[in-house]
Amino acid sequence: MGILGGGGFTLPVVSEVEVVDVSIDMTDAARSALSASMGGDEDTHVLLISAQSGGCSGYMYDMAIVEAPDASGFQIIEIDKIRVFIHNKDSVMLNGIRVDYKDSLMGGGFQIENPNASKSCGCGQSFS
Amino acid sequence: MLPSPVDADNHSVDIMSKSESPKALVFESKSSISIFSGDGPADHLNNILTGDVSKLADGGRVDALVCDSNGRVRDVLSCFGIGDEIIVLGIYENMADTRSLLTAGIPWNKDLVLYDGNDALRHFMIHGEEAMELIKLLYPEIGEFPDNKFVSIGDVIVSKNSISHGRHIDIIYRSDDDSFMSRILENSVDVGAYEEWEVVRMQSRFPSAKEVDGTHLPSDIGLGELVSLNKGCYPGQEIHARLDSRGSEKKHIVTITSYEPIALGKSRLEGGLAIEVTSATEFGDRHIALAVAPKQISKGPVLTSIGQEYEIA
Repeated sequence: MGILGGGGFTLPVVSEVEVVDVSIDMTDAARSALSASMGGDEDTHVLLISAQSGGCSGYMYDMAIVEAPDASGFQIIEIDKIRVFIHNKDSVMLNGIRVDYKDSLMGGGFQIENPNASKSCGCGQSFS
Repeated sequence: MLPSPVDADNHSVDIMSKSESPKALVFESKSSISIFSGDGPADHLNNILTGDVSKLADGGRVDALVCDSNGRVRDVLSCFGIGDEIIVLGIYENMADTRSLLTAGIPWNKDLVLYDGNDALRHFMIHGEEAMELIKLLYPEIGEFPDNKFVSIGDVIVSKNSISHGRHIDIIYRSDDDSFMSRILENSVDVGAYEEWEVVRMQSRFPSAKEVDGTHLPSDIGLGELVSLNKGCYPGQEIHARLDSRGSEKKHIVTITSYEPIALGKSRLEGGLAIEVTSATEFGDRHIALAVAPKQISKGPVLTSIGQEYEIA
């Protein structure tokens, strides 16, 4: 049977994470860079921003342009005809973020400022 | 020199065992018990813990720390691979924070669920120099097993804590299975009370929630061995790597005994060095405590700045 097997052995789930309505801000530079990255695929693709455990500060951001996933569980924010998907699981951590874009050879690219973060890693990808 | 308090290793006070029982004591631990199930729990835990959990296989055990981004210890977790699931033992008082941390960072596209195992499972500890002898008394069929594995005897799993060199054994079993308690009774082995565990753990410098409170570095409280500096990023890794490269571990955990009550908190010793007493309790006509102390404090008798005599072990 094993310690976790057998009939009549059920376990309660540890409570789900809190969900809030997400709002985000995006700078003009980020809008332009994102629009260029989309390459006209705004109808079929979305920007998916997420956070997950990792990095030196506890959580890491991830941004990806992906084919529109099943929208269930996501909050969808439309910015200049680009749909930004943020999952309810990440809503508390990502609510209020500001997405910026820096055009420089070193340390450039999309960057996220997060009012919920008490600390960020030097590389800017990890926060706590 | 002050006499030694109760000591599971030396069996100086016979509080647990009868006749010729091994020099080890049995306690029930009120631990936080969680079960991670679903899509890649080892990879998820590996992003959080100070030890490499990524290769945790069925029958394997990994002990590691949860630290904050300043490198301070928030919890001590023992992870047991059970098929595709992982049993996670932690410190009960830190359970809410740790569970929140473990669930908040689950990727949106991973079907990973954390279950509460506190009612379904029980956790016992055997602690002392002859812990292995005592487990063999209870389970004569058990063989040798390494620190990073556990053995299953029916629904009971038995394994060694990886930093206590065979002197601390964990036993986890289902609450609806009475086979472990039957063996305890058959062999006339008593189960110690919480107050006795407090004395034993202070003698052994075994940290509890009083030390693991988010204010101490791993090496300060004797947990430096649970930090891997080559596994990649985890919260606190930058701090731990910097401390290691600079060789600047300045504190360690010590046991203090005294005939007078030992006050919790910071106190200054004669000569100016300061210690932080994290746990303290009474034992017979004496008092015992754990303290985080500068490494330059040597063993033996010391006086506090107010003239109290402490014995540092």
